[in-house]
Amino acid sequence: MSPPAAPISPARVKRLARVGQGVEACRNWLLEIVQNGLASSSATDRSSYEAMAARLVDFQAPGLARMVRQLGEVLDSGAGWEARWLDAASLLILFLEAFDQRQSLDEARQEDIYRAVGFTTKKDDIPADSRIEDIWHVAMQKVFLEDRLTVQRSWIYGERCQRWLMHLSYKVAQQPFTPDLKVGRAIAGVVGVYPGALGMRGAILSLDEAEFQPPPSRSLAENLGRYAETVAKFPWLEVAPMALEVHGLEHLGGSWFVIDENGERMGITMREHAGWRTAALLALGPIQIYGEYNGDQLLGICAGHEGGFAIL
Amino acid sequence: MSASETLRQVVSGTRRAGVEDPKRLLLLQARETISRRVGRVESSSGDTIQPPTVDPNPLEHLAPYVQAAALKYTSVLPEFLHHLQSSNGTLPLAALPEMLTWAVSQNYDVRPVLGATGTWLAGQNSAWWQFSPEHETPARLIAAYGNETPANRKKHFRRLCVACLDAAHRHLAQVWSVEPADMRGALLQLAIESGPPYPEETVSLALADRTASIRQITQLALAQDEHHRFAQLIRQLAPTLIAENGEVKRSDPMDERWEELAIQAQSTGPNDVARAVISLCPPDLLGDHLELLAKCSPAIASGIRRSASVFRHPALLKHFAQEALKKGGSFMEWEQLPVKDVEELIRWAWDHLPPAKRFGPLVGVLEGSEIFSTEFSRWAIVEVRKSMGWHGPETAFWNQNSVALACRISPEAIPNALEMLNSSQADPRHPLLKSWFPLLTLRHHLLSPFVLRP
Repeated sequence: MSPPAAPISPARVKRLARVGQGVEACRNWLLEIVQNGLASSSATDRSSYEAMAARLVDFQAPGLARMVRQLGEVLDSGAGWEARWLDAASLLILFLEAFDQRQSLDEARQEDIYRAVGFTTKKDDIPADSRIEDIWHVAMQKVFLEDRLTVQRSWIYGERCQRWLMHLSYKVAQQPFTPDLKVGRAIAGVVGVYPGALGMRGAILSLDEAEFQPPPSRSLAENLGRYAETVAKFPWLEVAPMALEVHGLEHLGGSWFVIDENGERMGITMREHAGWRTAALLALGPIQIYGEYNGDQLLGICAGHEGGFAIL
Repeated sequence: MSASETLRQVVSGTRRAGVEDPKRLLLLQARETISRRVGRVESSSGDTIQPPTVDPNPLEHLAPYVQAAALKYTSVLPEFLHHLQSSNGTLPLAALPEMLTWAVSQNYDVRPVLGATGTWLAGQNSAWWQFSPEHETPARLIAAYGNETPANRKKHFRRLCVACLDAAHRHLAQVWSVEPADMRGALLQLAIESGPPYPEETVSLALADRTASIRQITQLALAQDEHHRFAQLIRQLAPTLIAENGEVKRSDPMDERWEELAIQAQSTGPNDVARAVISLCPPDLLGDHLELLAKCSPAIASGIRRSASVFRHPALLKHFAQEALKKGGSFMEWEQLPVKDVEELIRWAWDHLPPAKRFGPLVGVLEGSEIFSTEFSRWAIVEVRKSMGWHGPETAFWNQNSVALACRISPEAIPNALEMLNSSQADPRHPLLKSWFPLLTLRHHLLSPFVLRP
C-alpha cells in the first residue's frame, strides 16, 4: 500500500507537471538514440545532448538536464565509452521511470527524486530533528567547475553520530567559498541534514574550530557493504565516501591498486605523484585512504598516517 | 541476455537488432550496472610494493610546505635543504615525489636528505633513478646510453656525471669519434659543468676538436693549474688586439695550444675574443688594459661586459655595477656578485644617490637568489620603512618587489618583516600582498625547526 502523500503547494503541482513533460521528452529522445544505435550521428553529436539539456531547463528540471549533459560527456571519455554510455543511459531511464512512479515510493525517497530533478530545500527549512550537533572532521574535498560556478564538495565525518555527510559550497569567479572548509580541519557545530532517504547532504548551520582527527577506516568489503546500502536507497548516487584501511599497494601497468588487510584489492585513481606518496607513507605501516567512489573508480583524495594527514 | 550482447544491440541500434522494447532492455541493464558497482573487489596479485619500515619523521608536518615550495616557490628550497642536511634531517615522506621530481629537473643532489624511504622510492620510478644507488650504476647507464635518443643520451650522460665522474670522462672519450659535433659539444659541456679534475684525455680531445667553444677550452685549461701561462698569453695577445682592432693574429712565440686558441677566437668574432681576454687574464692585469681595450674596440668592450657576467668575474662586475649606479643606469647582473659586495654597493647607493633614485638599486638586487645577511636585511627593512613612512601596500616598492624581498631577507629578519607588515595593518588578501604572505609564511614554516624561534 502506498504511504499517504504529503500536501503539496499549487506552485509545486504546476512545476511537477512541467517536469513530467520534460521527463517524457527526455525518454523519447533517449529511446530514439538506443533504437538508432550508438553509431548513429544523433548519438555521438554533443550538440544533441546540449539541446536536450536546454529543453529540460525550460521544463524546470535542471537536475535532469545535468544528467543528460553528463551522459554527453561520456562520449569524450576515451576507449570503451560505449559501455560507460550504456551504464549511464540505463540509470537515466531508470530515473525517468522512478519519477513517473514516485507516488509508489515513500515520502523520503520522493524527496530524493525531487532533489535530483532540481527542486531545492532552503537551509532554514531543514526540520529541527534533522539537525545534528557534533564535531565534524573535514576529511576530503574536491573542487570542480559546474556550468559557470565553482563547486567545493567536502565530506565531513561526525565524531559522535559516526555519519559521513556531503557539504556543497558554490562560488562565482574569485569570490571565497562560504563557509570555506579546509581539509584536515574540524568544526564543532550544528549540521542540518536535507530531507530524504539518502540523508547524505548536509548544511552547516553553525561552526567553531575544533581539533581534527582522521575518521575511522574500514576494509574494502565493509566499505562496499555501506556503499550497497546507500545505493539501495538511491541508485543514482554520483559519488560516495570511502575510508579504507590500506595495508599495501600494487602498481600494475601504470594503474594503482590498494590492498586491505584481507588481501583484497580495488583500483584507485590518484593524481600525479599521489601513488608514490602513498607508497612512501606505507613505510610507516598501514595507512588510511579517504576517497570518493563513483561506482567505477575510487578517487584517492587524502591519506591518514602515523604522524599526520596528507592530501594526495 | 549477457552484458556484451546488450551492448552490441545498443551500438548497432535496437531497431535493427529487432528488439521490440528498448526501455525494458535499458532497465535490465540498469540492474546489471548497479550490481556491478557494489562488487568491484578482487584478490591481490601478491605483487605488492614493499617500502622499508621507518619511524615517523619529526618533520613530517612540514610536508605541505615542502610540496608547495617544490611546486611553486622553488627559490626557498636550497636554503631549506641546506639547513635540513646540516641538521641530519630527512625530507618528509609525503613530500618525496615532488622533491625528487624537482631535484631531477634541477640536477640537485638530494641524496643526503632522502632517508631510507626516499632512497627506496627513487629506485621505484625510472624518472628518479639517478638518486638510487641500486639503479644508477655507471655500468647500467653506459649500457643504456647507446639505445637512447640524442636527448636521452644527454640525460644519461648527466646522470653518469653524477654517479661517477671518472666513468663519465672515460665514456666521453669512447663516444667522441662517433657522436656528431653538436652532441660532442653538449657532452663536453656537461662534463665541464660537473667540475674538475678534467683528465688530460678530455682536454686533448677538446683542444683537437674545432667544435669545442673557446669558453669550454678556457674552462678546461684554467682547471689545469696553468693560470700563469694564460697571463703570459694575454700579455702577448693584448697588444695584438689593440693594434688590430679586435682581430686576433698569430703572435709568436705561441705554443700549439695558444695558437689553436687564437685561431678559434679569430673565427668566432669579438665577443669570443672578449671572453678569452677575461678568462685568460688575471684580474690585476685586466684592470690595466680595460680602458685601452674599450677605446680600441667598442665591440670588444661590450663583449667584456657581457662576458664578465658569464665568467662571474667579481672585480669586473663590481666595477661595472658601481659605474652603473653613478650614472643612474641599470645593472642586471647583481646575482653574479658576492652578497657582501652587493650589500656594500647598495648601501653606498642609498647614501649617495638622491631619494628619488635610491630605490632603483635596491629594487634591482631583489631579483637574485642569494640570501642577504641578517644585518643588511634588518637595515633594508628599517631604511625602507623610515624612508617611505610605510603607507600600506600601495607603493611601487611593495608592488614590484615584495616577493623578491621575502625571498632574500635573512631568516633571522623574517620576524621583523612580519612585524612591519602587521603593524601596517595591511590586508593580507590585498592583491599586491597575496604573493608576499605565502612566500614569507612558507619560509617561516620551513626554517622554523632549524633557525627560527617560534
